[in-house]
Amino acid sequence: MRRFVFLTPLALSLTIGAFAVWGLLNDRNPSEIPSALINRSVPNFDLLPLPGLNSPGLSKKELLNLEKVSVVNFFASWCLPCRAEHQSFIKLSRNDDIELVGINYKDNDKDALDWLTELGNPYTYVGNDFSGRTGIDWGITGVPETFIVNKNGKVVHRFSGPLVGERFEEFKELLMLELK
Amino acid sequence: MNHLKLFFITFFYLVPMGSSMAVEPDEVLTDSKLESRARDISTNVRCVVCQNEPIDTSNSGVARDLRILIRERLLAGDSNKEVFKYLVDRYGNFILFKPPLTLSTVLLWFMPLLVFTLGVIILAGALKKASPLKRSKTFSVSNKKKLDVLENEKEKD
Amino acid sequence: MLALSIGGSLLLFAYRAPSLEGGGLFSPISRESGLLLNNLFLTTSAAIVLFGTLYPLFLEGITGEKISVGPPFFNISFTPIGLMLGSTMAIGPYLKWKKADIAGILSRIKFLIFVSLGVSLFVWYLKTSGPVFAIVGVGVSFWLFTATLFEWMDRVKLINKDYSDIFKRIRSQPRSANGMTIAHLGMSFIILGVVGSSAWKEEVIGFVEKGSQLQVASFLVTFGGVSLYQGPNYNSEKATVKVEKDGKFLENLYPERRSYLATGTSTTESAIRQSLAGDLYVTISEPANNKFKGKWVLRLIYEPLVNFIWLGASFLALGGIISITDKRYKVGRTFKYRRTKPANKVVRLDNF
Repeated sequence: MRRFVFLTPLALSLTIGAFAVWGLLNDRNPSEIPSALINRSVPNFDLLPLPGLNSPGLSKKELLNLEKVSVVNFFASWCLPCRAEHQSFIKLSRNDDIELVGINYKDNDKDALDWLTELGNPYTYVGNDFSGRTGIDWGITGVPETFIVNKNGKVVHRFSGPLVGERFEEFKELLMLELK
Repeated sequence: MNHLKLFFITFFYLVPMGSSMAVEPDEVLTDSKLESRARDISTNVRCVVCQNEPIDTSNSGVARDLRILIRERLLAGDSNKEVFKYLVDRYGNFILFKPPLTLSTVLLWFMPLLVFTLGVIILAGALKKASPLKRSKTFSVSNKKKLDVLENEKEKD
Repeated sequence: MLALSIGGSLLLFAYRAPSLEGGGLFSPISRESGLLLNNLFLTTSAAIVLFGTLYPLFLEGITGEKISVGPPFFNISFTPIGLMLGSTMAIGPYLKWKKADIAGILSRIKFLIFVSLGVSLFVWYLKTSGPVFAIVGVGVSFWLFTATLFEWMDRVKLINKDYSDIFKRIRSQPRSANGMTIAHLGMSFIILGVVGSSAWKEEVIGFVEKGSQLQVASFLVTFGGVSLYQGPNYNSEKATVKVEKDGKFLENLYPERRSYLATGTSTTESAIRQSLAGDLYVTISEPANNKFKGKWVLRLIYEPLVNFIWLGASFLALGGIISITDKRYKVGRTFKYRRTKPANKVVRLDNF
């Protein structure tokens, strides 16, 4: 019996080692945190439109009234990955079952307008979050970040980073699930 | 005394950071009590875009926004607890450097006490083993006499 | 590789340790038990660091929850251990091997306990703001320092006022004993340094232009403007900052902002005025808010007693080195001089 006591240091280090290996091998991203909004109602927001743009602004109330599955995408003209993923949203905009909402995060009005003019505007609504407060209310950790909101106004998924390639496929799958 | 070297290494980790290098003068509140509360709170809030830094020392834009936000909440009359709740509602418990006491963190918070208690028990056991003779009540008289002789010899050293 | 070295050695430990004989006999209050108590404190501290650091990983692996464990956890967990360790270390040198007379020891040095309490109260009077641990910490540091010093003085019979052979007695002290004394003194410095620099740190930040003045601790700092110069691979904006105290000029400090040409990144080079009483850090940076363009952000940070940490650490290291070089630990020597049979050397460690 006494012998087994001396095995504890080895057992302990093996356990720690196992966790360490798990932490390294998995394609888990150590700095990616789960959104605190999942399965909760969309946070309060009321954003004015971008001046010069033909898309209106949006508020929480209006979003809930739509009673449609919506995709909320935080973007900025100074964000390179946003540029990379923009094509994905142009594609998504052809689907009439989803409402595409863009939120312009901490950007310059003119730069944002030029950016959308150049790349195309896929969003039905574009909110102007100049101060970044709405971003904080949604708990974003950077741009681009995209949220899937179900028909009842509940946030069901959060995607950090550009929606391109495989990531976009994953996103589309989860989006299809919500539409059923 | 090599134990002290180990101690020194663990101690280094624990020298607390506190100076800012990031808070800007235009963020500083005029009410010094509120400002020091803001600083205290900031040192406990993790910057979500940086690597393991509090927003108090981070240069990122989000950190600055959060610092300003915290001060706004304090000016609006929130207590420290309410400010933390405001942030946790949006970012989750990850944003707190001091993990809240929940079912999942009970083990963490009580671990030092547990380890210490376990250590005390082991220590007591070791001490008992190292001086067992006197405690035995069934020790024979002749053995006790032998023990006395030995002890007297030891004291002469 | 780690798995082999750590796993292998622990496996060896598990296999061989049970056959090792336990140590000798000793009383519950003795130098031996003191060392065991010391191990208890240090092991607990190590466990705190290990477990606290790994916990987020464990939790995520088991429940998927992500939390952060940062300085507040470590400070709260470790401070009581550190203070207990510091307080009991003071008694350590007084304990004899095998059996120590704790009552006798305490009665001899209890005046030091009272003086340390007095110091704590005095600090409380001086610094009404600040955490409790700071006041206790200063008391513990003072207690550890004086108790260690007193034990040494007692050992070399300084107190007896018998000065005739004093130098001989000092020089004849065994190295492990000197190592212990130096290391314990170092520990008292570290405690003082940690307490001072964390509890009584002051910081002042302001927008400045040429001629602006800021005050931190008892220093008056005047911003003298910024000049440009070119370094080997960077451009630098160097500020001249004048430091005065009580009307007397102390020195000029030159904090910089450098931008490196190759990468375009910039760094802040702080200027430091170091002294045993504390360090004054000065840095400059450009305002984040465009409203204040043209001005500079000047940061002044004063960390009292912080150099005691480094001083204490070097004492620790020095004490350790001196201890290790004690002749009695040279096991190899017996081996070298062995002729026909090994000498039966009984190492007596209980006469200091």
